[in-house]
Amino acid sequence: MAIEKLRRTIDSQEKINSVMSHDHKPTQWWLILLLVPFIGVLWVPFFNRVDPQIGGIPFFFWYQFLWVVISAFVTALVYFKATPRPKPVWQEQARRE
Amino acid sequence: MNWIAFTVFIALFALVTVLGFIASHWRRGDLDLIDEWGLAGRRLGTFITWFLLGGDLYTAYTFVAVPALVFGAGAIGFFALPYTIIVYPFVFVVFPRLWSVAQKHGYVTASDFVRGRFDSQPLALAVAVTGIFATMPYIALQLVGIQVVLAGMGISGTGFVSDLPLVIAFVILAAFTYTSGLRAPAVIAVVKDLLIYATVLTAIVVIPIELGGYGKIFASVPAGKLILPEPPGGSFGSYSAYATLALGSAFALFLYPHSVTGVLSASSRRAIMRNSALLPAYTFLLGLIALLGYMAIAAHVGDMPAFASYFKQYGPNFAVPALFLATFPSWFVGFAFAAIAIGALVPAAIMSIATANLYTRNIHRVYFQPNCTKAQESKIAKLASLVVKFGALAFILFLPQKYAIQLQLLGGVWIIQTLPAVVLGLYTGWLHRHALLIGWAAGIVAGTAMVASLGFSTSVYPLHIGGLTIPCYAALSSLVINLVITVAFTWLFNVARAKPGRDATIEIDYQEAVL
Repeated sequence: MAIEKLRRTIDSQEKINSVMSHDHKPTQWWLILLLVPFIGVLWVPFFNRVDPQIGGIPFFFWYQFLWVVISAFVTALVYFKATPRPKPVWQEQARRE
Repeated sequence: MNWIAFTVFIALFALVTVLGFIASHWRRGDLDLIDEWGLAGRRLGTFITWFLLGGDLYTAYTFVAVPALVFGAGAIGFFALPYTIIVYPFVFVVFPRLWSVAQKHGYVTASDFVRGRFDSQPLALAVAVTGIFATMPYIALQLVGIQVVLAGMGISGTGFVSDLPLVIAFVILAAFTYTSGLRAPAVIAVVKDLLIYATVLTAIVVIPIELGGYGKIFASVPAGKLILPEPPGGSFGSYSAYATLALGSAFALFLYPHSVTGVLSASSRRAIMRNSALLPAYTFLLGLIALLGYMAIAAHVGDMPAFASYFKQYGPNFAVPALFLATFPSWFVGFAFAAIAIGALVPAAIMSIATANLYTRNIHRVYFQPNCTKAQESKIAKLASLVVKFGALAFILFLPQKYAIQLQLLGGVWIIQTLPAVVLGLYTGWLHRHALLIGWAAGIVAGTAMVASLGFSTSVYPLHIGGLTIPCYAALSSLVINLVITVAFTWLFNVARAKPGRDATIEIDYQEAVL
């Protein structure tokens, strides 16, 4: 059992090394951006106010609605920047040629 | 009795019933396997997952209860917005790992994973039982949504007759869940969402026009309800209540069995990540629905004599139905009410499937029938889903509604106690299995005691720290107790060289599946 597990660990490390070349390692720093929405919507004293209003809608509400959009945008950005992707086959072929 | 509304309502309900049964043929799989029945074969792409999770997390009860809270208590009800904003960055980082490890080892529930990671039968049982107990009252509360709209259409009677429509709705739900499994709510969720989006977008345009614009609506809300009240000296007041409710609820949401089922039925970890960026569309919708609470205040539905008896029976939960009845023509009322009732069927189906999976995989198969075949396993899950649903129905019919609400309140406090094993477990096997169990028990006891000391009326427990009062969501404060105890005992067990469990997983199992 233990040997089986060790074998799997070694195998998988080889696989990681073969698939993820240097230029393809995603930057994990992008993940820090995901903390931003937490600060934006959890610091209540900052947004618990009526003014400035937009079209009669108090700050408290439009501010939080705005964060729904910002947060979705940030998550999408991190998805595109920090998700490891297997190298497309055609790219690999093009380089060989 | 509002016949036009009722006819539209019945027509839409019938459509959905047919869809529920046809769903078993959709992306056909062998429904005698629990993976196929209970996770739709783990083949739902980004698009269907969006509908499924949207229908699953933003339940009919949410759609009734959130505006009801805004109507009755004011701005505090808006905590639903930060809650469903911050949950997605959290999901984006954590839950693809759960998907990958579950895919690799064939896990169907969070409890399956915990047993694999920590090699502890009692800990896996604790996770399973917590999931079942937290979800049962939640299923029961979905019925409240149906009950309220049925009453709004003037369907009333005495004794058994008054409950009959609810019983019929539930029998239909039970039948199509039994035959089609998770495919049924996945298909119905698409219809339900089209109805909900159409209803809400119409409401937020038409109602403000009738009431004289958004400015007028907000101007008619009493100052005490418009924003959070300023905290008194020496206390964080509603500020910390608001923030901790949002944070604690966000941590708890994806630990619920029905969320895990939704996540694991996705076809790839990418589908989960994409959905973390796409699901906020529902959050926006939820915010708009919350605003209906203020519109109900501005329309003075609470003072209308026609609704007095309903408000007396259903409390603020009748605010949105009353607003629709007062504003819209009958056919649209039927449309909107169907959206709410169908919106209750989707999460109720997923929740019952999720609890059935838990019972079958982590209780029945382990303790009662260790060598059951795959076909037997899925048969038991199907039967368990029936038991769970009728249990919930009996709960609503025979016990006062307040028990369901109080238990659901406790459910959030309980389910969050599985976070150290399930979420931290995705990152490290360092925590000791016995320590996790002790921490879990401490969290459950502490959290329940806090809510009990408040007479089960609220889950915001005031902490007193050095002369300062910090009202805090009991789920969050009891989770801290749980974490501290888990870490302390892990250290102790390691010093005492207590035998750790044999971890069946390795780091690569949690990462990109294509590797």
